[in-house]
Amino acid sequence: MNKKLNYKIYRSDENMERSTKRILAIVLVIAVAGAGLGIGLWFVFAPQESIFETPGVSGVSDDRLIKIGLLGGITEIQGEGNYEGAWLAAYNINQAGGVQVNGTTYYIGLVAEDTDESNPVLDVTKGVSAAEKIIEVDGAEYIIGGFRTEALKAYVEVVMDAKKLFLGTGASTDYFCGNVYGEAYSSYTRYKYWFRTMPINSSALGGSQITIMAYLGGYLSAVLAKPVTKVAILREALDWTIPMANALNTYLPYYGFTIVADIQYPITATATDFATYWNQIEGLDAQITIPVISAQGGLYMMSQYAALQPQCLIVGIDVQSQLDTFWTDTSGDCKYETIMQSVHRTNKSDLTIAFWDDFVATFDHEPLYTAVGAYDSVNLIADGINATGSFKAQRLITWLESFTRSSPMIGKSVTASHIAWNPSHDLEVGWPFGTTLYCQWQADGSKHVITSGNLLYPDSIVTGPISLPPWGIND
Amino acid sequence: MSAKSLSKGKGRVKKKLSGSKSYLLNWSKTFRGRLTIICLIGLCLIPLLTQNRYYLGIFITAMIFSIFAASWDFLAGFTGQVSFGQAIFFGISGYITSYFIRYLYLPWWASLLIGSLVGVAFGLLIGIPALRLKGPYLGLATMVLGLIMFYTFLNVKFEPWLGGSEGISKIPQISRNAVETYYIHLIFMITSFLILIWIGKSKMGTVFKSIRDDDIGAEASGINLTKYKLIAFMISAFFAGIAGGLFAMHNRGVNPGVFQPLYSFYAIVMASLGGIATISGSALGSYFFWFAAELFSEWPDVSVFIFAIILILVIRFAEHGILKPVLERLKDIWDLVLGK
Amino acid sequence: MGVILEVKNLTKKYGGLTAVNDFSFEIKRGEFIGLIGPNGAGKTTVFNLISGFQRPNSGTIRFDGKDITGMAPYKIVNLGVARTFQLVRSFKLLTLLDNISVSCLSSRGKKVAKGHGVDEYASTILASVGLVDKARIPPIILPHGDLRKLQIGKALGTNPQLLLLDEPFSGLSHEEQDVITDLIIKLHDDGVTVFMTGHVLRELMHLVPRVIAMHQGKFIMDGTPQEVAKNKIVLEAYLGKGEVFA
Repeated sequence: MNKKLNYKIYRSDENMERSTKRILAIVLVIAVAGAGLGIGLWFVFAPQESIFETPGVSGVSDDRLIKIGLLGGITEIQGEGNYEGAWLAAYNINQAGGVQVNGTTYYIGLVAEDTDESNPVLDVTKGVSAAEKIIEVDGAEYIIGGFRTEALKAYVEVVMDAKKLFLGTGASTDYFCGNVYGEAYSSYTRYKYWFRTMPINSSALGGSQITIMAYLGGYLSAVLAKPVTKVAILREALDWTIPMANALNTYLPYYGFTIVADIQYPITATATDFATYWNQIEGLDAQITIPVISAQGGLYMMSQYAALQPQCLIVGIDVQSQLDTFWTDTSGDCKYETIMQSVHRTNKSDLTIAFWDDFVATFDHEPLYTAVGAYDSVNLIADGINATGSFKAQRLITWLESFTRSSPMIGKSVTASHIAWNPSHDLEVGWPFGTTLYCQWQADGSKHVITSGNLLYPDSIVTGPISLPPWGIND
Repeated sequence: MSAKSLSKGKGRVKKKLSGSKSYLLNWSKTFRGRLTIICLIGLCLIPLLTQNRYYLGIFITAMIFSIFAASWDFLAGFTGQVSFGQAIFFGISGYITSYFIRYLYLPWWASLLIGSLVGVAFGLLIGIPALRLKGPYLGLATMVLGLIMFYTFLNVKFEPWLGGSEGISKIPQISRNAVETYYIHLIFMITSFLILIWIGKSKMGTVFKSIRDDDIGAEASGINLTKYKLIAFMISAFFAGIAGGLFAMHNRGVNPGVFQPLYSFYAIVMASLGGIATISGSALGSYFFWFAAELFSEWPDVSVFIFAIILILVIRFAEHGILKPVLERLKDIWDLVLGK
Repeated sequence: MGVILEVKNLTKKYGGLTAVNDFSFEIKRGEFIGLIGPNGAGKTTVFNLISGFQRPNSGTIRFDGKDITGMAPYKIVNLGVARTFQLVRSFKLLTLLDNISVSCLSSRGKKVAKGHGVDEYASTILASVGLVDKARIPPIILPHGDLRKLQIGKALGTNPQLLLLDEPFSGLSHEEQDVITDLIIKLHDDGVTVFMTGHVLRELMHLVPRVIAMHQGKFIMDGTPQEVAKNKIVLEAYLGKGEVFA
């Protein structure tokens, strides 16, 4: 009897436990479903807070914004530079009272998305996704940025699909401008939204390099009282270096040079590899070495140069070396390296020095070329909207296209006193249009603009003499 | 052939068809079947919620990689051939598809088919070393082959033929309409999954699994290992190729990066996360991966780190992936709700 | 009755060790024959050589008049020579039915299965080895005796003419041994030529009418179990083991 009762109690306990569990489970299911539905609805209907940053002003409503999207590898130097340049320009414009369009004041709003394009292990989906997000979700109307050709090739299509103006500030390849005009498979209607504001194109870079070589060959021969004709090329094995190498190999012999070595190294090369390259170059008695480097190799190249002291001068492209931190990064090993740089603290245009000082005061470091390009680009967009009184991409395109070699935009850019675009929407080059400067790391731990013998730019903007390594130059 | 035998044949076909019908019917009544159907309906309804290219783009990427991860799962989970070079098929099809669209002006579906078939040819090629190599050695060999492809396509010397480090670009999307693109990818994903699951359940699938469980035993059962391993590689390569072609179109082009071990690892991570030898687990893994990646897109380095931690946890606590335990928990809860 | 298997001067060396040394014998169609020898005598190697899992250094193997020396294992299986292994092998994650189905899907198995459908044929085989009630479970949870039955079932799926059974009683209890024995006798009655190994003579004594004895890779003698049991060399080979008639 007692046993039976116990059993019954036990049973009802179990039943209660079961029903409690059941209720809990139902509550759980309803809660999860409700939460899911809620999030979904919020996602669709919630009034989105503006994600645009308005440097220099606050409390601007979304419909008073000129929405500029910045695309790049945000965590890497090029993307960071792109953001900083745009930020500074936006700050200056907004502080000065914004942009007046038909009596209404608009302010610059910035949004950035990470394309992760500087990642050595490139996943192009990141760039495509970032471009789709910046246009479709963030609502950017104008795009500034782009650096790595492979990644940009994918997401430039997204921007062109959306018919948004895209000002390129990082890629030097001719490909993107070739899309607009002049090359196979070019299509003006589709790609007219692309303009380059930085850097000057890679073939022009080749021309500049040949010019400086012609000048330096003569200069060094005179100073050292011996013929300086032996040249080595040291470049990373990427496609963008091919036109440059072809140009050097073809044209340098016309100026009396002999190419003693053309070394291509994998972008994964290490310090040990660079020791080998320098020994090889020294073994061939090279007098000038031309680096063509955009990635991480520059640091190894310079540390090994300082260690092995090959008797040659380095004059060429080394993007890493454009950073002011390169001196400390190499512990001064970069001394005597001469590199191409778009802008330095010199009167390239009347605005350059003011911009430079402003930038250094704001960010506590020197601007990378993408920063200069983005600064110009934001100003161009603001000027264009101001001048045309319209936000439409097509009006801005027409406006930008109106600046040609014969009727340039003067005194607006920090990169050159004259700005104009050719039919493929590429920057016109050659002083006073886009030019590259040659800057040398010197003993005081900073870079100085050296003379090009008035060939690339006037000597009036030179900031220091050429300094030669004390260990001499090969015979 | 006599009329009698003909009608007999017909009868058998009919029986088979009705057999599969009742199988589907039974399946749709199981918890798993119902959940699958709900998920599929959910996927079909997504474009009603948003037509935004970016959001649909995440789904599209996830669907492409679902197919890719499933192709790896088919090879590793069903046949026991663990490839670390799945990106070879993915990449080569991406290149071929792009080439045919861009330079020969073929419609995208024809190019995709050709690309995938070239992938199959590579499956045959890569399958040959697999005949002699097992386990980690096969993994290593396929990874090295993948790297060889990567560096070959990257090589400046081959630039005129293979496109160099910048590859082929300006590939139009399947459709300018994001919703249409979404549904096309959805159809590709569902079809690929159905075919892979069907092969897994077929007699050929039984043979594949026997090779996975005991290859010597399979040979002693009179199975031609060479033939079946190569078939498995080819089927896997075909679907990896479909994914690669879709990937190329979605990203408007290809570059040697598609051959990176990165993508092979993506496939392995997604399939392992979902659960090996499940096929549908690959979809779970892929969606999880891409949603997480977008959530953490502002910190790309951190996202890899976080994902690695999640994977380690999954391997530690659910070594057969999350699909099965998740389904079981859901079923437990559902049974409670129904008061079973 | 013709010769079904003819092995001539078979030699297999591993480095300096000769596992099988100039070994020759014949088996007639329909025979029931044992291969005995102490552990390490080379019995398994002989089976591996016949079934193609290893290649001989010299010598020939002819099955049904056809030279099969060094042929791929699956080809030999599809000619009609099936084998089992001393250590049981199974497809761990497949059901028993599927375990058998794999053999039925070999090109030789398919020919027989054609009329019935693979599943039906596999079920028949599963029934014949007494495992039909376990058709839907995987082998990992089977007792050892059932695994031995499964082994034989898997071999039967390929419809063999000659069945090589490597230590079919190894690790079994007496009751289980009896079940397997009955199964093997039934197979032989159905017309399959059975060739089996055993290192304990007793198992074979009452089962097979003819025995081949080998020791250290060499052929010793060929005769009835009684004759073999009286042979001096055989006795010496087993001496000290106490297993001859134990």
